[in-house]
Amino acid sequence: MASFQNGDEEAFNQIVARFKDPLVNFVYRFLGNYDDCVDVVQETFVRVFRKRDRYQPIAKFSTWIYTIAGNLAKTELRRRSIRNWVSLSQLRAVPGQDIDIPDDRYSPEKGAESALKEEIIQKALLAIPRKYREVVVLRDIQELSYEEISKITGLSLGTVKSRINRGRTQLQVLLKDIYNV
Amino acid sequence: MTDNDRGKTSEGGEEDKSRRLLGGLKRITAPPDFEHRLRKRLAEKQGRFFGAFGRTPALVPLRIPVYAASVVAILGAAVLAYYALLRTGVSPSEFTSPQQKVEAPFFGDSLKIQEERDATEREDQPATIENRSSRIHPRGEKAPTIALPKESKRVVPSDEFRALGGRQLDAAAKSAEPQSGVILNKEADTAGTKKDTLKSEDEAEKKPSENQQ
Repeated sequence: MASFQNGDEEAFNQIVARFKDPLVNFVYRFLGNYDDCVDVVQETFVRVFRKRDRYQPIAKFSTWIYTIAGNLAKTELRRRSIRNWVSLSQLRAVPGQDIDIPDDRYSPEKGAESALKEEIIQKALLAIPRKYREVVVLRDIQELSYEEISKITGLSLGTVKSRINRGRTQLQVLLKDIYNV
Repeated sequence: MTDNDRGKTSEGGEEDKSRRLLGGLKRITAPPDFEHRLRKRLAEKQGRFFGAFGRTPALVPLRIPVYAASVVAILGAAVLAYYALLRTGVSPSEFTSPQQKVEAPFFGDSLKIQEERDATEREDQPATIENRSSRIHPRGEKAPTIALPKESKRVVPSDEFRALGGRQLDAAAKSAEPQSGVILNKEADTAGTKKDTLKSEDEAEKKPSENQQ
């Protein structure tokens, strides 16, 4: 990042190569729409490029870029008024994946490792409130530490932990069939 | 095992389950053309920001040229001002020294004079009822009029007039205005003396000219 701030364009390319996939994964789990997710991540890198002078090395670069991506994702959610339920068109947004409609006859034994299971989990993630979803994704999917999540979200450590617990509890209720496997 | 330990283990169990479930999700990756689209997007934004300058300052922050330009402008203005002062022959230290003292105009005397004039004008004005009323009623309202007693003329009874006779009355009337007559006489006297002095001067001028001839 320091070399990028000094004008090394190759350093920016390295940053993009390193962070594009983790950011796409994080934003997709948060938004639930692939096209929107790619757009948000691209905008994140544009912001990083334009505001590179504002970055101070006292903070971790990953924390800074996750903060930008998270804020843009929240703005996107507000702008498009995405509600907690997911429509079928949004679920179809992941390219190369055919989605079957889950029904009540679904049993976790039949397809625990299938794509359907992933979609159910994603649906459950989008069903929980936004404030819990963000921290749960950062903790359980992106595998960041509590301190990093605290810096990214701007919340205290205690608030982060309690939100993670509440989010997990809500997920457990939504995914009780899978949880009980 | 205490309740606290049970809580921790149950929390740890939930965490493990949640991590296993969510961590086992397929990793979503960026599309292959992500970087190409990003470059395109950056180029568009840069063109929007720096199009007016006609260059691609991809790696030069905008702040640096702006600060540099402002510093150069300030220094240039200072140098120009310095040389302009040198040309006029006035050094900057002289220019700032308080040699050229400009006395502030003192209006004290003129104000006093004006006040005295105003006071005399007020005194000269006759203190008539109309003037007072105009002061009290400045908006053109009709002032209340006060009927003053007219100057009483001396009414001479007809019997007395006859006894005295018309000539005696005229003489009495003439004797009643002695001052104006005196003044007139004085003016006439001074006019006469002026005429005499003019005549004597003319004669004095004529005499040397005759002597010269």
